[in-house]
Formats: sequence, structure tokens, C-alpha cells
Amino acid sequence: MDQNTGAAAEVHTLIGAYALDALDDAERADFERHLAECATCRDEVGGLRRTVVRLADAVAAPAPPRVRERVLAQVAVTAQVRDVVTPIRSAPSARPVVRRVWLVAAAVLAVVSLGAGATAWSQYRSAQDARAVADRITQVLADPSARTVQAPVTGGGAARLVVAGDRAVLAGGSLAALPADRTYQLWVIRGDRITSAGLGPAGADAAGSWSRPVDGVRRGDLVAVSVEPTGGSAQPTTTPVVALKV
Amino acid sequence: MPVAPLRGPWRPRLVQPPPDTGGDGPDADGEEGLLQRVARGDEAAFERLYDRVAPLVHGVVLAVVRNPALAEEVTQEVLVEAWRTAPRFDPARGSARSWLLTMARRRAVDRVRSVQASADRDAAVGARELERDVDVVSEAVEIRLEQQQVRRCLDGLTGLQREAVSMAFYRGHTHREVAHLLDVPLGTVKTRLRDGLIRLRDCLGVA
Repeated sequence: MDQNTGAAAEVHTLIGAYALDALDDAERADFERHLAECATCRDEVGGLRRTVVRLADAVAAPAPPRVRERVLAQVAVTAQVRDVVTPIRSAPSARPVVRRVWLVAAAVLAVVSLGAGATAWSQYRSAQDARAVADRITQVLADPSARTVQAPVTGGGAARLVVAGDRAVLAGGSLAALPADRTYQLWVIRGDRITSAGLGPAGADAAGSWSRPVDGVRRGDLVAVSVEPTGGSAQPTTTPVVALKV
Repeated sequence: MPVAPLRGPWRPRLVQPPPDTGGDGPDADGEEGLLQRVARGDEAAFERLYDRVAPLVHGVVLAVVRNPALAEEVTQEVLVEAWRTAPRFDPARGSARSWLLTMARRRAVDRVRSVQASADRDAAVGARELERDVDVVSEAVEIRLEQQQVRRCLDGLTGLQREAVSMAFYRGHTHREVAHLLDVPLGTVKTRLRDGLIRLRDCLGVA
């Protein structure tokens, strides 16, 4: 750093404030320009930043489990920013970021495309606006009192049931595609009674992530999913791929 | 997928949530690796990352906002924001923890500032305010016994170094604000922040 000009030496004194994130935007920009030209400074910043992380470690305190449930439920319907290009790596678990949008969009599409054989969706018939269904999903997931149960799904993937009061959302992730003439169907089981709670996506569209609102649930109910002939069944005809207790 | 035909009455077997084994392997990935997987929309990676960093985020937020209910809310916001903006994380610019920490502090400070009238803050300038800042650090640090080292190292700073670092870190004050609140020249605050951190770094043995 013997090459430092007076100005560089001056800006360098900001290194502590920079590591602590205690600069305003203009000062930070100045400092980052300086940093770009000074390898020693970058090393020093690295060490100071790690020190700041240690300060944070010192106050670490577990968050209540409900925070975890809420965060995961919200993440399931939150699209990620796509204003940057992330390098594509050969990771088997890599999924397009756009997938998240599907969780809400799938519900919208389902309502639109089911216009013809809407019997299974009768409970949503009043929801003329497909958007309303998406909003209902979002409301349940955003409810701070929401509880979550999750379980693996036979055939692949997992399902998560988020319950807020008498409303629930079933969200499936990484689910298997179905034969062209089959659909997922949701059920509410209360004692001996099994009631359809609407259809999930069908055929190849069933693959991946989607979610559906399930209203009018009570504690102790089971929300189950089975594979049924396209159009749905009055009562389940196959063993459920997943059943979750409300 | 194969579909099993239904034989006899349907008795759904209740599937219990799987035990949390913490993922496919302990420390199979570092936090940076997890965050990069999160950036590609990997929800399982997010869950693992959550379990590692949530106490850090929550602790820092709690230290700043000092209200458990508000801290929960802000923690939730920060972690969802981390998911949302994970594609912007650049490992070349720092660790995943540092990135999350900055986000947590900024959000917590914003929240405190919007809750507290700015007039209130300005009026509160003085010894009382300052003492509170230092107290919070002391209390917060004392929460965990294994953090004695950090406590000891903070104690090893000069009074002004400790106050400046604490006000910047736990209250989210800029160095200008710290200078104003402590009524010392800006140049003094700059050097105290730097010297204080360097002393902490050496005391903690941070590489």
C-alpha cells in the first residue's frame, strides 16, 4: 500500500465502517471503487467481515418453530428475482426459478381449463375470477397462525398441507407425471365420510409443483390425494398417494 | 406412475411427517453451496440453509428490535427475502452469512426506524441512549455461555471502540450518526471502528 495516494489513504480509513455496513450509499460506492484496486484491502475486509459475523454469532438465538413453518409456506409461493443471470451448473436438483410462479399460476390455470367438467370444482363455482383462488391460497399461506404438515407422496415428491383455521392449502412438490387419462384428485375424509375437494392437474401437467385450496376443514380431518380417471371420481377408486392430518 | 387398484374399503394410512434428519448428509454442502442451490429454486436446500442460519438472523434481529414479536416478524421477512433474492448472491463478494447478516440488520434497523419516530431518536441523543446501546450488547452477548470469548474480546476494547462498534453493529447507525451521537469527530469514529474491529479480529483469532 506504499503506492497509496492521500485520497486512497483517506478512503481506506473507512474500512471498519464498511465492514460494519455503516456507510451511506455514496461512501460505500467510493469505498468499493477503492477496494477494486487494492488486493490487500480486500483481504483486510474479508477478515473484518468474518469478525462482524462472529459478533452476530454471539447473539444467535433460535427462532420459534412457527417461524420456520411460516417461512417455508411463504417460500412455496414466492417467486424468486430473475434480474440476474445465474451461471448454469450441472446440478441434478437444479430447477428453473420460474417454477415457483407455478404454485399460484397452476391454480389459476386449473380453474380456467376446468370450465367444461367443473363438477369436481363445484365448491369453487362462485369464484368466477380465477385470481380469487390464487388469492385464497396466498391468504392461507400468509396467515401467521398457519400450521404445516408434510409427507412424502407415493410415486415421488412430497405434499405439504398448510392449515389456517378452517381453510387449508395442499401444496405438492416434485410430483410424478400421470398417464394421459389420469388426474390427481383431493379428498377430505371426516370419519366415514369422504368428500371430493377438487381435482389436481392431470396427465403430464401433474408433474412438478402445484397447489390447491381445501376449504371447510376441521381438526382431525384427513386431506388425501388419489389418482383418478380424468374428470375425477365421486368416491376414490385407488389407494391414496398421500394423506395428511389436519 | 403405476396406480394400484382399490381392493376392499379404503383405509387411508396416515403418513407421519418424516423425522428431520437434517438432509442427505451432515455438512455435505457449505452455506455458500446451499445458497447457490437456493438461487436455482431448490426448496430442500433452502430448508437446510434455514436450519443453519435462522438462529443467526433471529438473534441479530432480536438484538436490534428488542421485541420478540417484532423480531419473529422481521426474521420471517428476512428469510423469505433471502429466498426471493438468492439469485443476486455473489459468493465473490462475501460469505452467505455475511450476506444474510447484512440483510437482517438492514431490515431490522428499517423496522425500528419506522416504528420509532425519527424525532424521538434525535431527541434521545445522550448518555442514556448510549448506555442502553452498550447494555444491549452486553446482555445479548451474555445469552450464550459459549460466547464468552466474544464477550471477553469486546471487554478488551477501549470504551470508545466498543461503543462505536456496538452502535454501528447493533443499532445500525452509520459512522456519521455514531460521530454525532458520541459527539466526537468523524475521523475519530472511522479509526475507532477500524481499530476496534482489528482488535476483535485478532482477539477472536479470525483468519
